[in-house]
Amino acid sequence: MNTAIDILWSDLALGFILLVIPFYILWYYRTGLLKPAVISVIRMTIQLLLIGLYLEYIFILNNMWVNLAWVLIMVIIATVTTVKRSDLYPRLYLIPVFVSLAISLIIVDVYFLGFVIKLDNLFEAIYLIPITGMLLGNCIRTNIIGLSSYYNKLQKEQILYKYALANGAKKKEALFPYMRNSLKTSFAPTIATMAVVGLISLPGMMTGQILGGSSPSVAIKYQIMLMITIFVSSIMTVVLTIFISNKFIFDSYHNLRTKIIIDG
Amino acid sequence: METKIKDIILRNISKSFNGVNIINNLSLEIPAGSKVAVKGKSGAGKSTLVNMLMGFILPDNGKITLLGMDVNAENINEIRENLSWVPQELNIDVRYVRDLLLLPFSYNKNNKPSEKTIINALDMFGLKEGILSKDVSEISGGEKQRIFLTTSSLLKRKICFLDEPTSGLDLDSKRKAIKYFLNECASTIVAVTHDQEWMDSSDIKINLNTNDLERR
Repeated sequence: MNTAIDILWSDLALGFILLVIPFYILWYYRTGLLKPAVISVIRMTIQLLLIGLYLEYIFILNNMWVNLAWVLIMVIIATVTTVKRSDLYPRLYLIPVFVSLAISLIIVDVYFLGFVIKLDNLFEAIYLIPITGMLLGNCIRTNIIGLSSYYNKLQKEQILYKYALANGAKKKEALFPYMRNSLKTSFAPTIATMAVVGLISLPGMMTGQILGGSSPSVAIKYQIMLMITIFVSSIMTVVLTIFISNKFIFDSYHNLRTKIIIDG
Repeated sequence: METKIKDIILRNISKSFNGVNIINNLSLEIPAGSKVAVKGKSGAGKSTLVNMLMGFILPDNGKITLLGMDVNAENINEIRENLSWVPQELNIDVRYVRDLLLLPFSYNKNNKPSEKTIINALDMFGLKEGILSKDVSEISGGEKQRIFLTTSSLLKRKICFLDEPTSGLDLDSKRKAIKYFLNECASTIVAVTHDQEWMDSSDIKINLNTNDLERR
């Protein structure tokens, strides 16, 4: 099979003309979103251009340490984004989120790249970087929903937590409804999406691989593994973050130390 | 009275919030099985006091002893296992009244009561068995209050804390609650209340406006 047709820079500019439609709609309805939309498109374009150049260089270099350093940077950016967008206090949550993302990624990457694809070199840039990137991108979304629902509910419904403790619950039992609620809100959409993949949505990675010249039968295998690894790593990250941060946000009487979310 | 075991002992308890003194040098001893009413104006520290007794708020100074154990991080689990608490208002996200009533019995420590025990307990507070299968959204505030009181009675703890236990109740239900908690039940009962009848039926009245302790 052939690889995808390259898009000329001039033709890429042609693609941008399509943006007139959403920009006009956002402007007409006075949404206040026109400016952020323009900025987002510019940022997205510049970031991807730079990453394209950078990845090309990194793939040629293919040095284990450089690859790992790049993954580390991705994890740090994902951590900061998650904490910021979940309205969590950085001093309380940066470390738990970082550690949880790192642990889940290490487990899932090693398993997938080492045992499933059986790479000779686990740190092979063209596998490690895009796959970690896809895992992280998806983890961020579920994490933000999961963490903000857990801490919001805990902050706002402290009386239920106290009711449980004062009527015989262990701390773990008193926190159970908050954990259940967080998992339900964050994973119901993931589970629903998984059920319709292929029917009403063709996932990005599979489409990319097909355009890149892989046969659809190879592309779907990667896509299946990716759906599974995203599911596993995101649920691990949410649960681990909550477990680790629970060590910091309660005092030795199991009481919430202080405000745990911004504007909670 | 003085020789009885003391369930609750407070020694020189003080608590301030943002520089405002809420509880000032409060000392008291409450014998096991006493029925205590806590009264005071809004902001006098009624809920602060009850929260301190349950270990949810820590005093700035002084020492609290419950059931012979100092309230500290080491003992807090064991102390709380001997308590029950009915808050003034609580929303729990469950569908049926049965789940609301039995929530604490989903915890390992609490043995689920038999159906007969549950029905008898409901009856003490003037509730019928049929309420268990109703949607929580279908019952009134007063019925919900009585459900929480029923739960507390089923837990059979050494010390029960009740926050405005009669606030949503009609006269008949109120008298039933007073009869059970203040006359029949063996536990130490600490109730934050504005209700005169409840106060009159209690053995000890703590007035937080004046830090006075009045024994009947």
